[in-house]
Amino acid sequence: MSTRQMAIGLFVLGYGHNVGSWRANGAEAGDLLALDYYRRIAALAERGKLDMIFFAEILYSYEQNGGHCGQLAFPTLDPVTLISALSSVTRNIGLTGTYSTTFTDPFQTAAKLATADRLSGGRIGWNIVTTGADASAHNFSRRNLPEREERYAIALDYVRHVEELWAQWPKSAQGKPVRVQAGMSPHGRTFAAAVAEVLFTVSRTVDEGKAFRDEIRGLVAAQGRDPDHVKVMPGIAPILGSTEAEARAKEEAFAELLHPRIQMALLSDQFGMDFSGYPLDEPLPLQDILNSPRVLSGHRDPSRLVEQVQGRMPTLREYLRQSARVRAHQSFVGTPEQLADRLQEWFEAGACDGFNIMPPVIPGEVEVLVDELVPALRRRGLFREDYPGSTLRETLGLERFA
Amino acid sequence: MATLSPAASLGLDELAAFARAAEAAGFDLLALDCEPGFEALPAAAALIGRTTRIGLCAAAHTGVGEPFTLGRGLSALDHLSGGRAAWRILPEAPEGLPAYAHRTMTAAGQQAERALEFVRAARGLWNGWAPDALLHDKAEARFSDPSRVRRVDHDGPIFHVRGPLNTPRSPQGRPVLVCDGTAPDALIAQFADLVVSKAASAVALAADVARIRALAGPRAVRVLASPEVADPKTCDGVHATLSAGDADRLAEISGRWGGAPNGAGPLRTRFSLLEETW
Repeated sequence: MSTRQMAIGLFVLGYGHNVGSWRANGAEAGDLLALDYYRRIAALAERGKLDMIFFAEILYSYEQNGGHCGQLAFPTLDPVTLISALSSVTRNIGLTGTYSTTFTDPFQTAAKLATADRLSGGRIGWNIVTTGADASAHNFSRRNLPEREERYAIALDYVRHVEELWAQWPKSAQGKPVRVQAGMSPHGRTFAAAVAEVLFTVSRTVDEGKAFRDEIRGLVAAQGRDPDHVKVMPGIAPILGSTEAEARAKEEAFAELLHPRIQMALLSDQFGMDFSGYPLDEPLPLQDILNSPRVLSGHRDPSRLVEQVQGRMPTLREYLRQSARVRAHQSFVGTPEQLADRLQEWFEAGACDGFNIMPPVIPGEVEVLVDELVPALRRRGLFREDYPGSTLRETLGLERFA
Repeated sequence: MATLSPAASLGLDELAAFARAAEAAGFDLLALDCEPGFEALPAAAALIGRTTRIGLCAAAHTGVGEPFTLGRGLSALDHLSGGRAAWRILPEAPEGLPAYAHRTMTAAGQQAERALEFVRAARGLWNGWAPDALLHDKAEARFSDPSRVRRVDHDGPIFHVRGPLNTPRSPQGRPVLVCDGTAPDALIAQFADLVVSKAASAVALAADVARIRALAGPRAVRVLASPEVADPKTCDGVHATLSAGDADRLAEISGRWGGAPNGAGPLRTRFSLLEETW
């Protein structure tokens, strides 16, 4: 029996990570704007003794034809306000929110996070992002986004400034908030090695995961930090059923949530061109895509698309259906026991310290995780029976600062 | 309105106990200030789940940061509380703000203009989604009606904000806006819903109320004064600053004022404040 325990985070995004999840049965208008929705999810996660709930942020609205895009639903409430609201209606679970170093003021961010951390009893995490979305710049009095290298240089100054302030102010039960980070570019890794305590990563295979984790642990050690105080948590998007057949049927049902209009809107946003004018049953307009604004500006690399359509050009409709299934993060379709096997394989191979779970539909799929996956992990001796203490640092086994 | 100060060293249970006492005593708003290492907005958010009716007023500066950040933070406070959010506008930078290389400071002499522009841009963000913009039409895959969502396209000397927020209109449309009586005239004139007069005598209060009402013109503005000078004949309400240990004074202050107990529902409706039309 292994004594090393897996960390499990729940990544909550809207009605779920399936972009059509707002169309699922049970998804009600206004849910995402009510404290009760998030309270229910948090209560479920806490029942399962998950390490933390994580909230991303989206700092712009999707546009189409120069106006607002009505197909995509990514309403995101300000993360620090949301995790603060949740802190008084939860007890033990960690709460991690995202704040950009490119667009916010470090004095205010430091004070907000310190306040939330103290009031929650030391359960707050800060996902430090440098914001890769160009469209966000226009909401923060910038005409364009600084280049990646400059963004990370700023981020380092920003985090140092925040840490200096935290050192002067009253401490929380865990000392100070946990620093989380998600960028995997070379600049991102250097930044992570200096700063991150938790890394949310994207890895599709065990080998990829292990290579990344080994590299990060080496970089962290080279900075004089203890690699065991840095937790690598890849994302995984599971679809679970009590049998494989049931899981596959669910996968089909979830794919149906991706109405062609939604897929079209996403594609339009990805390439910066409007696909809604093209007939669905005609061949994919590859030439126009290769000449689209985002490809020409270098923001979007079309080589994967070109590879995919090699041999036989799909229709736009076929391409939309194919895209619906492609994910950056590792995906999984099967039973909870099979998922536990997969997670165990990764964990014991040293490919990660835990996982950031991305359910396709929330809260429905969260119940399955808590009621089926967690017990399966416990039977393997890989997951806690109860929270070891009251702070996020204790839960994750990170460096103490109290 | 009751401001709990100091608050930075209080735990959540102590904050909540005071808030509930204010609520039980019939106060309409519980206000929190910013102190070193303490931001009022997250604390106000933490109080949502520990209160049911009382308004939650967070002080926040316009002197640093961006309208989009604070705008979405207050929108979230309003959504999550079901329409109980208020913002006490601090039209300056935090006191003792340490230098930071990547921040462009606005000069002291320009802070009033910055505050005006900031609030104007935030108002535009809050008013971006019409009340009926959210469709949630699952069959036709129309989450929102694009013709009912507007960008703010604010382009001023200091701020450039495209918008809109990616969240629908909050229950109140926009939070209740609170200013001190010492705030820049233009802020009171154009934006304040509640003004906290600093007058220390009945005579001074009468003069201050007249000044504030003149500034606001046709806009409905409620003027609050300290318990020592507030009078229903002169002003619209009481504002008391109390420490956690003085919670027993809440019922006494509320009793002397003799006002109606706090209601339920969005604050702007309770206070008969205008809704902004889309």
